[in-house]
Amino acid sequence: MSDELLAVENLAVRLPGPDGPVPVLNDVSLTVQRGQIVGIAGESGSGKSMTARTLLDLLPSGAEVSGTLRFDGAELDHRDRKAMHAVRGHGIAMVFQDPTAALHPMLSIGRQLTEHMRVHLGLTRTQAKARAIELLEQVRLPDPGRALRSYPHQFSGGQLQRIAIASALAARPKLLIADEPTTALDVTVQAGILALLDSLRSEFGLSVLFITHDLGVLASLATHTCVFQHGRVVESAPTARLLRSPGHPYTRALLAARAETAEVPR
Amino acid sequence: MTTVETSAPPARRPRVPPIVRYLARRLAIAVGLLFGSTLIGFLLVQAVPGDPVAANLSDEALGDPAAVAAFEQRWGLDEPLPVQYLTYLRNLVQGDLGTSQHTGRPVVEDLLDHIPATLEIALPAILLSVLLGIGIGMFAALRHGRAADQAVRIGSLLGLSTPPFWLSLLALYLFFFVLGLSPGGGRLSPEFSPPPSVTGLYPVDALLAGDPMLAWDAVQHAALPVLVLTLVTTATLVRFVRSALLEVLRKDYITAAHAKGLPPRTVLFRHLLRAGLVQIMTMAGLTFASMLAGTVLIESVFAWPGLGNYAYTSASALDRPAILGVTLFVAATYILINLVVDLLYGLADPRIRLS
Repeated sequence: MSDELLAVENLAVRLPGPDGPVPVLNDVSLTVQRGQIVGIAGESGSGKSMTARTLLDLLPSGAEVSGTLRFDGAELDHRDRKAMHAVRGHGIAMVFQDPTAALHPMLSIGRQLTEHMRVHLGLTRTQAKARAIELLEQVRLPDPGRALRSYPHQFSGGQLQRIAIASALAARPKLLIADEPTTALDVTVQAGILALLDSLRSEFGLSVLFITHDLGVLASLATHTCVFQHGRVVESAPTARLLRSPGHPYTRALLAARAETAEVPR
Repeated sequence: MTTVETSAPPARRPRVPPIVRYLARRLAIAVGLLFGSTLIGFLLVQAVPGDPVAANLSDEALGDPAAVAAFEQRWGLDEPLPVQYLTYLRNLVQGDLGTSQHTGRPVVEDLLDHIPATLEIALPAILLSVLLGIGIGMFAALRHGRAADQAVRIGSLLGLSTPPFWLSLLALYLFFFVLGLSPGGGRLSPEFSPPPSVTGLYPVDALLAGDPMLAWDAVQHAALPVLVLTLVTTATLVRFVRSALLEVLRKDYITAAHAKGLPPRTVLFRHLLRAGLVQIMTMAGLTFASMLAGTVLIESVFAWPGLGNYAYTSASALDRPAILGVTLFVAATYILINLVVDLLYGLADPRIRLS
């Protein structure tokens, strides 16, 4: 099992509510191998994003977490603040749904790409800048030098998502969590972002946990898919098999919902 | 400006940077506002009952038709109202706001005497309340919904709903009468005389004159009004900062900053405060302007010879030139502070600076 990068076992999360703790995740288990893209699919509120936030310890205060999280051979302990800060960005990084909201409107792209690089990798200003340009080239953003001096409002949504991906990769994470990274983008821009993630996986051995409500997106991208419903994993299988012969009625319903609007790609 | 544009060849016309265009527009608006406020001030003062000639000249001079005519001619009172207004504007541009009928001195001199006294308490108070407001407001926002947050909310509500004059009386009673820690009202104790005026701020001028005892006495006198003013404005600012920061805390880019593994301090100051600062600056600017204009009640309780006190005595004496002078000063202060805030906006927010 040396290829295992992330293992989540029996994860349960309860959030504080007005009438006591509300369970949002129940008995969630999943694994991600090195260099693998794993998909998480499910409707809004099924616990997809909550799983991502739990991994990075971004839950609201008062959340109760139980279960085991193993990342890169060590246990993730949320009580160990220092270790969590080292994992965030450096071990596990995240790309958010809406790139226009996930980048600070008043800080330059250069600042936002380099600040965590310098914290995690101990680079000098010049080294960090050079790496930032390299990253922007990797995500295929035109004119990287100029982009570093620019601000988020000067880019389109697709360009911003490429910048957000570059920023997520900046501190050399081993796992990238992509939380619906294409939902807020045009269909044509979507395809470009998906291709980019796949090429980052094949070129740099990056592991990706790809969260989406759209099972079809995962078809060509994820080797393994977990389907979430009501805070539980209702089905977990290699993506091809899951799409061909869905075992759980909810998976079938998700597929049917997509088939009504578009062909399921094979 | 138009000549520059037409004289330059269109092909090589230098592109005006957005920030310059933004500043030019703000400046133009400020000038327009200032002009408008002179007009409104002038018309409002016309509505005050009373004859300016009788009010400004002595009985003896009133009996002398030549003196009355000279006075009327100087202020253009024999002219129709629009001409009077233009005369007023012409005098204003030359720095002449007329003569106060109450003090018998030029209004400009009166203002210059009273403004430093107000600044002496307003400057430390705004500095303290901005620091406290940001500190406490941030503390509460980060502990949203918990006991500490509730305590801050209740405390600031108490501060907001306490009338400033009552707070002044209470402070005076406690620190002067009961504890004997404060020397009481006024800017200086009777045994001291004001230091030679450089800045008009007594503690600063006393130190410049090399008189630490005098400076200490001035500081002791200013302490209570500053305390009351700080308490009142801090309460407003705390609530404002808290809600501004709570709004920013919900943004994805703050979660993203945490997800990047930045130290919490960096997220707090570089990401959170930076985003909230634009709104906080606006509020701080308005608060400062209102301090300069409306500390009337606090100044009266502490017998503080500031602008508020001057406005109060001018209003009760129906002193038209003085009322108009104070009105214009307050309007100009608001306009100037808003202009400064707009400039800071432009510098802080790239969306304004670059587009």
